[in-house]
Amino acid sequence: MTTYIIRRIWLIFPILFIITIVNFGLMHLAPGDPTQFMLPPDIAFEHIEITIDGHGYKYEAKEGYEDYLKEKLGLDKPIHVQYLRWLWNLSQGNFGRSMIDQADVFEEMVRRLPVTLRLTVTSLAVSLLVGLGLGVLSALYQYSLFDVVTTVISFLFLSLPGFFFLLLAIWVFALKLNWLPASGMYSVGGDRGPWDSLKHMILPVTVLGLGGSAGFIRFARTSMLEVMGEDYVRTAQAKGLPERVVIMRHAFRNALMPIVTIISYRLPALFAGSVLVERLANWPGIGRWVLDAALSKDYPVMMANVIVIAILTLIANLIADIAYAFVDPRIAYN
Amino acid sequence: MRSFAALTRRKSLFQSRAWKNYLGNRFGVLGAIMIGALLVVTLAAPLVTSYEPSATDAYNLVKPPSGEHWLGTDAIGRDMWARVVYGGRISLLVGALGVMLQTVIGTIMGAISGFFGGWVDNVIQRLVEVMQVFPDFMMLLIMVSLLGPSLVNLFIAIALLNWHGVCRLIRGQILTVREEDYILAARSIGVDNRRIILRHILPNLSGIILVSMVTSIGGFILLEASLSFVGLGVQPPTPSWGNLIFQANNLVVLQIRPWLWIPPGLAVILCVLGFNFIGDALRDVFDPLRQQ
Repeated sequence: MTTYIIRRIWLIFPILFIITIVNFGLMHLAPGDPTQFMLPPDIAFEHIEITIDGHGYKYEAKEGYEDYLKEKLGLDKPIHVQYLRWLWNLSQGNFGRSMIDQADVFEEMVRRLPVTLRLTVTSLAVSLLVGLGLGVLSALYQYSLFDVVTTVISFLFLSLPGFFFLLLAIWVFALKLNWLPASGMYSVGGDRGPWDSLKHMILPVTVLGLGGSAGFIRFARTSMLEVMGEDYVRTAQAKGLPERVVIMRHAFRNALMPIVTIISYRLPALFAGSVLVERLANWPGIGRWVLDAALSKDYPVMMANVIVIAILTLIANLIADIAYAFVDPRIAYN
Repeated sequence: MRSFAALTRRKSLFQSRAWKNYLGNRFGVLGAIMIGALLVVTLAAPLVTSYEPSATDAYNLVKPPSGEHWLGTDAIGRDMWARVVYGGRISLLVGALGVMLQTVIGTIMGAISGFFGGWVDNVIQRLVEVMQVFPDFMMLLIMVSLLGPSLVNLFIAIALLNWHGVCRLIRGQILTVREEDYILAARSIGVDNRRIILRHILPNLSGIILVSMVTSIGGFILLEASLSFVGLGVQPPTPSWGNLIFQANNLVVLQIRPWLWIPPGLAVILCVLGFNFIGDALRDVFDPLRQQ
């Protein structure tokens, strides 16, 4: 087991390396020279000339300003030195500043991540509840009408564009019936209490949760069918255990063992899925931030988010794989 | 006794067992009808609508559906039925081209990875794992804002971010196939690697490749629609289902002009659902172990 864990941890380093290389490479592909859009807040005033005319202030760079900036940003160094410098900054939690409002990217991310997690974690819970419930039941009643309907539902959830689903939901439940708020996290001027917050979460969470349940339905159904055919289930049935005990104790537990791994591998999709939903629901999280950044070509913000999500996923996968090896020791011997 | 020629003659597709198995799958047949209808309507666009998708009509602004304009008209008087039909061409084109490019990249990488093994395999597999931990839609946003929004950039970006699934699939298949006796036989008579891969291994994987292509098209069309919906995909005035739904960004349109955004949305669902049905049925046909 220890060798397995060590080997598994060792494997993330080359991946981490490639992630940073890809990110750094994309940063360099960004059109325009960083000197043209990066103005450090502490730039020396002797490099700018400020003139006042009929139209207001005018800033103009003096001769030698670009060289000064390049030196200040380290862009005069060879590329591998720039890469190492960037890596060092990352490890210090320094992700640079937004090119639009100069806000510190890391601070902003720390503020926005919990907001997004509130949405993604609840919708994951909905997905699991609906997906595993429907999947297991349709396996137990294979070929019944319920099974067919569940199959159709899983296809439908798989094929629904989340943003269109949410538009429909907002149109019906918020605009026509006026039952739920259309967007935002809290009502304007409301008490910001749990009930207020919950009301705002219902639509986006339902849309994300149902959309995400399609995969779980199919997983639970096939996995359950497979396990129900195993010898140990037949043994349990043969020795006269009640069907309920066989299903809950013997089949269900074993069928759902890989779920931790599946969830951890779905993390990137969860974050990616939050982009459009957060935009439509006006939810101030990571997803909407990245979309706004993409629309205004704010590269530091986009890159920082992608790299943080990638690394979080990598760590989650690692933990899930190790946990799975403890549950199913056969893994460690392969 | 049947002649040798009769034994080796290939059966036509319509007599094959695969065809019968496919017809036995209700969802598969339903999907084929849905996609067939969509293809006919979009390809024969000039025949199913007499309007040009970008022709404006100042006397018919934002009219609700009527006998003249089946799905009404938009803010500058363009016929919505024409725009949905012509938009389908773009959406299907992005899906089809993107999937082809993704399959070519994925198959080449997977074949190299599985057949040669060693450090090449190692590097490609690490790359695949990296692709898996990136949030795909966010990466797509970055790529498109780097490359600039256009039809060509769109399907290149989608393909570059999605080849890893095909790569893993092909690699896994090749790892099992390459141990087969017929590969050994080919090798023993001096067939070179290139020919073994192209003539002996890939034809055996054609069914699996087809399944992966069909199941990916739906996802591609969803990605195109999502991207066009935020204005980073297909650019207006060229209609695509995504940028037609984009009109619902306006609260007035969302609330009182549902004919502008619901039909393109339903078209996306119909199309993606159809491809998913076909893909699932094909998987059953090509993977006998999955048949019940």
